[in-house]
Order: sequence, then C-alpha cells, then structure tokens
Amino acid sequence: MNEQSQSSHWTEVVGQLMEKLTGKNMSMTYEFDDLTIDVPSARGPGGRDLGGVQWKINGKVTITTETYQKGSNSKT
Amino acid sequence: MSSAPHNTVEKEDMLSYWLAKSLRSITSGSIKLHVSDKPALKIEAIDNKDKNKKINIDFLEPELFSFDIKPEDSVEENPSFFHKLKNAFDDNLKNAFDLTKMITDKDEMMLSFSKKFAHYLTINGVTLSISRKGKEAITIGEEAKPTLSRLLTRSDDVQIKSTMEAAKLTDDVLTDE
Repeated sequence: MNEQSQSSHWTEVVGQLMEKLTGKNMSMTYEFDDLTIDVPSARGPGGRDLGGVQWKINGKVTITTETYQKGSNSKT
Repeated sequence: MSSAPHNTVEKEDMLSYWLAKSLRSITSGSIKLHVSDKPALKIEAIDNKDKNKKINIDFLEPELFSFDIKPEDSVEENPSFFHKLKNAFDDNLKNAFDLTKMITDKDEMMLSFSKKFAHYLTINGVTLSISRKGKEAITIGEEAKPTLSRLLTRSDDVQIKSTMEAAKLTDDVLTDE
C-alpha cells in the first residue's frame, strides 16, 4: 500500500463518516449543553499578545437535507 | 509544527496533533446528536479542573455510523486490516498473540494515524473514552493502560476496555460490502 492508496482509503472512510454526520434525507440535531471551549492566546500584528478567550455554547442546530436528481425536479 | 506539511506522513502527523490539541481545549459540557429525533451520539467533556481531561464519546445508535470495508483481494487469503480487527474482537482477543504475526507493514501504516493521535492525546493530558450504548469499549490517551490490546494496536496509548463491547462496536460500524 503506497502513500497515495493509504491516503485515499482514509479519505473514503472519512467521506463516508461525514456523509453520516451531515445526513441525507434526514434531520440531524446537534444539541450543545454548556459546552465550554478554552481558546488559547494568540499573537496579533507586531507580536502583540491578544490573550485567550473562553467560549460557551448552548442551544440546538438542526440540519435537514433532501437529495434531488440532477437535471430533474423530482426528488430521489 | 510551524511549516506547512509536505507529504502524507507530515499531514497525518499535523492532523493528529491539531485534533488532540483541539480536544484539549474543550473544558466541559456536552454535545448530543439526534438523528431524526432519535439520540445517536453523545460527546461529554468531564471537567477535572487542574487534572487531566476526559472526553466520553458514546455511540447510542452505532449502526447509524456504519461504513463499508472493502477486502483488498480475497478476504480469506489477504484480509484487510479492518477485517483482522473485526475477527480479533469477535475472537475475544484469545488469539491476540497469533494475530501479531498477521500484522503486516500495510496494517502498520493503517494504524499509524491512530497511534500518533493516541500519543498526542497522552502528551496533552487528554483521555478519550469510546462507549457503545453506555458501555465503555476503548480508552485512548492519558489513562489508557493496555495489556493484551498492545499486541493488536502496537500502542501504549490505546486500551481495549471490553473486547465484547469493542467487538459489538466494530460489528455495528464496520460492514462488509
């Protein structure tokens, strides 16, 4: 297995997983409950310290997808 | 880690590093994924204050995350790495030592990303626990204490906590075409 075929195998696996996570003809709801993320400090222009920040995420995001046949108005 | 990666190995190294680093930045809270109003996945970060971080990933409906595994040639003569993994778990790791003889250079390459990722989790003091329907199957990173599973994963940072749950999870997730 060379580097390219190994890479394409993983790409295929990740692609299939992403397809599951984004959904096809279904609704996906991501529910965030007090998700806290510490964003580390960063350097701005001139090496200025921009400091760190803490994000708190609450709420729901629903993604609903439908697939259509290309060049046709009818749904698959 | 500052210059752009040039080849697959460098890209893999960079990706596993940033993935582990990103998980480190999650302090607490949870994400629940519902598929068509049915709970499918729960990710929960345990806030241990100054101690190491633990992130639990629970596949509540693992069948929803299944993907096809392709045999490279003939499954019997030349099983793919995923087939070997599935067979090893189905066998409850009873023949784990024999399995080490079956791990080829190709399999090592397949394992390299997960080994690197697990290693970077340990370096960052993060433990990732993977469960199936509430039952712990695999621990990766800081708190992993592998014994037999080291033979399979060739890593000190991946522990198979329950071969039964790991077998069920691989059966649910890895499907033959």
